[in-house]
Amino acid sequence: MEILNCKDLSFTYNGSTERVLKDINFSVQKGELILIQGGSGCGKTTLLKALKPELSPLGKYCGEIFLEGKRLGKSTKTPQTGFLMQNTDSQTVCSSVYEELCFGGENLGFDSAKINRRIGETVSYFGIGHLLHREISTLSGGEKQLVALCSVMVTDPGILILDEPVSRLDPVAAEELAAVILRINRELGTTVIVAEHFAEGFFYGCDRVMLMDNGSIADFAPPKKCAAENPGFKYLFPCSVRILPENAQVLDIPLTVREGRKFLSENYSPAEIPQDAEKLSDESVLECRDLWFRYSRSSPDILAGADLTLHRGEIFTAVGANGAGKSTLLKCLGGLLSPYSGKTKVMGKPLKSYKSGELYRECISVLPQDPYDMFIRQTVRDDYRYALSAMGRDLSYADEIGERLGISRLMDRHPYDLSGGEAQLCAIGKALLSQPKILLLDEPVKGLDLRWISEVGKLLLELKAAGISVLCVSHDLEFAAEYSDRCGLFFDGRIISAAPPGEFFSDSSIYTTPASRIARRFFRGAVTAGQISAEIARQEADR
Amino acid sequence: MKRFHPAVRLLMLCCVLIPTMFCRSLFAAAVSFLGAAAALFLLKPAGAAAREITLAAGITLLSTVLNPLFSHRGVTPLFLINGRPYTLEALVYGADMGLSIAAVIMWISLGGRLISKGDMLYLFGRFSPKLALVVSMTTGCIPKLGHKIGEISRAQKGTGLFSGESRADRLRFGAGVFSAAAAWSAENAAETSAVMLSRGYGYAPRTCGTEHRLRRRDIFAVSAASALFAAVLILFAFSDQAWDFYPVISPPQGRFACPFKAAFFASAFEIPFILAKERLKWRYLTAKI
Repeated sequence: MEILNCKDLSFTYNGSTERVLKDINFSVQKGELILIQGGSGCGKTTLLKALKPELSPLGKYCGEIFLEGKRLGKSTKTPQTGFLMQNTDSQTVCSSVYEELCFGGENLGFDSAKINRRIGETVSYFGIGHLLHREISTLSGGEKQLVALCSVMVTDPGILILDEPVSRLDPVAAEELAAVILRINRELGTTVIVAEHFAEGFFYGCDRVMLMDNGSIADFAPPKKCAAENPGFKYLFPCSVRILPENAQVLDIPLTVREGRKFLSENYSPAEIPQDAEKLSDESVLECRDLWFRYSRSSPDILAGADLTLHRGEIFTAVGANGAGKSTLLKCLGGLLSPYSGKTKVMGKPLKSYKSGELYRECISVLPQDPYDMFIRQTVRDDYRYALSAMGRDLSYADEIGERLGISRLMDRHPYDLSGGEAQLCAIGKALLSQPKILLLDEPVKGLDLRWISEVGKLLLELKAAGISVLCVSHDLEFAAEYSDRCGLFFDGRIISAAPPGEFFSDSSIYTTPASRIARRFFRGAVTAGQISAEIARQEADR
Repeated sequence: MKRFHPAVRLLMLCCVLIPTMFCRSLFAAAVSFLGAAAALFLLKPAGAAAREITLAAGITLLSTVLNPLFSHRGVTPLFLINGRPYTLEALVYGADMGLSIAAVIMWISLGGRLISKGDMLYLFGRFSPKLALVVSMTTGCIPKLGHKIGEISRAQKGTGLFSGESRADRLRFGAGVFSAAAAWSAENAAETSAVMLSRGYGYAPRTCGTEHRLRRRDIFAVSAASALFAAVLILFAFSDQAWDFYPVISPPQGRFACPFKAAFFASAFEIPFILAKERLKWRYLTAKI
């Protein structure tokens, strides 16, 4: 039975002539789980918001949307549609978890007994009883997202729309939340439409995949068929699909780690993947020993004896769970927070010996987690020029950096109009204006799709070739495996192990890349999809 | 206090806040300050309470010391500064003003703890969803804005901007960061209101998940608070309990001075009394475990 039908839907933002959605036609059956995929800026969020009139952006709509047979207008209220936004901080309205869970039911006029019964059911089903009386601001990213999801589920929506619910979470929290969403669909029969880059969590479990490209639907088919027929969109698919050789005629496309392993063992022979780890420079540019930090006297230690050495021209990535303290480490190393004990040396000199400003001029640049925080002017070019004039440098350097990073076309845009990936590149550009020798990046690929991740990665490799040392903290394991010289696991307030990615990820069984899980004990030492597909290609060529 | 009806909690707070703001009386200001300090210690962790009380005491001290520098009224010069008298009367008036302002700040801070955002939505959401939305978003916006200003300012510092020490640099830095944070805040507020709408806000008359029934203790507390509030206002207005500071300090006299003091004292210490009683009861109950 059809629950949603979209006919010839097009949309143009106010003040623009370009159509963001172009002749979208699709229908969704009751109880289906639909995964929407597409590169950043392809119109996924606009389409999802169009399905919920209360959230639909201002602009010109053409076409029709029918929800349970009723045509949606601009002012139609759709309480039967639950919507989870990309940004959890905007999604939550109240200060405590209990109030947040009550909010939806209170708005719909449920009586107190009904609201509490629904909360009781939902809390028990999702196992969040321990969070019920916590303040929202004290929750971790994963917990916040789970509470936001539960607060939508309390009103028992017939259809649940989720906009990138897990892409900002660490891999473990992301897998847990994805499993909860699949459960909602399987066990409660709720129709789910989810737009997400994290293909590993949803691709195998969804009924159909909608591929979007430049505002249009490129394909809308079951996952195996979709993966087989759209090699051009491979970068959106799970690792088990990305390892397949080009033009491969695979009858049964593997979608999970288990199927990927089976595919390898049935078609190829075991191999040892050579590790081409570069020799690191002996010169250390940033070094910390036994750092201890806490936010207030009575709060727990966030850093507890952290040690780290960053070599010249090295890319080091610290991975770890959301809220573990990775960003705090970065801020301490960048001189933005002061540890209460421990020593840090930058370019051989104690951090404390740098006078105000001296550290950040031609020495260190620290990029925050939110790239938009970097901009305080109306356009990127204006912001760069403003920064250069404040630093007393030549203004023409702004255009030079723009060209060097390939972001010249973005220079006259307002920073808030940039997509996540574009903003990240522009933010790195701004950090390079002071010509630093060390770049500290906080979650540089958070929420980006693989295409943008590779753009950022390529840029980091170029910077490395120019002799700049890069320290990233990230929960994106594939990014860490692909572009780092060394990776370290941040746990319990310190980096507990650091090694080249091949060694680091093939040694871990849970906190590791999907590629490493697929290749485990078969292609020994393979930790990225690229390494597996290269080995497959080599074996194919030998045949 | 959470067991009391939100309207009762709000009313009790207003019953002490209004006389503190409008009664010109050194006694009232001092008692209200002490009442708020006691409530802070009972409601917040000792460290946080001590910090807030220190800040309030600092405001009082500043007002006390600074007022005689600007006002030279009064007949008891203590010493001369630049040939102008630094008078006892202006000093005491400054103390009265400082104590009132500090007490009001502390009561408002307590209010934030006693009445949550959810309580505000419950109280006003039914009558005026728009008003409740404005109140709830404004109270939520200020701490978020403060946090964002910190984030943007660190982001700018971390890339070498405005790290100079000149005042012009700092001013430019502050203005740039504030305007970026304000733009973010406006964007964020728009998104939050869209989310509230999408979650059915204003769809039907609002109900409340927590059952807030007026119980006996609510009626008793609100009657006591209202009676004391009325007594304080009536005694203050009709028996002229206002202090005069100039030209000489003259505390109010007359047979109604004592009842006024007693009523104000009881009014200012109603909330700390309830909090202390709850804490003792909790100690007693947990001692049995």
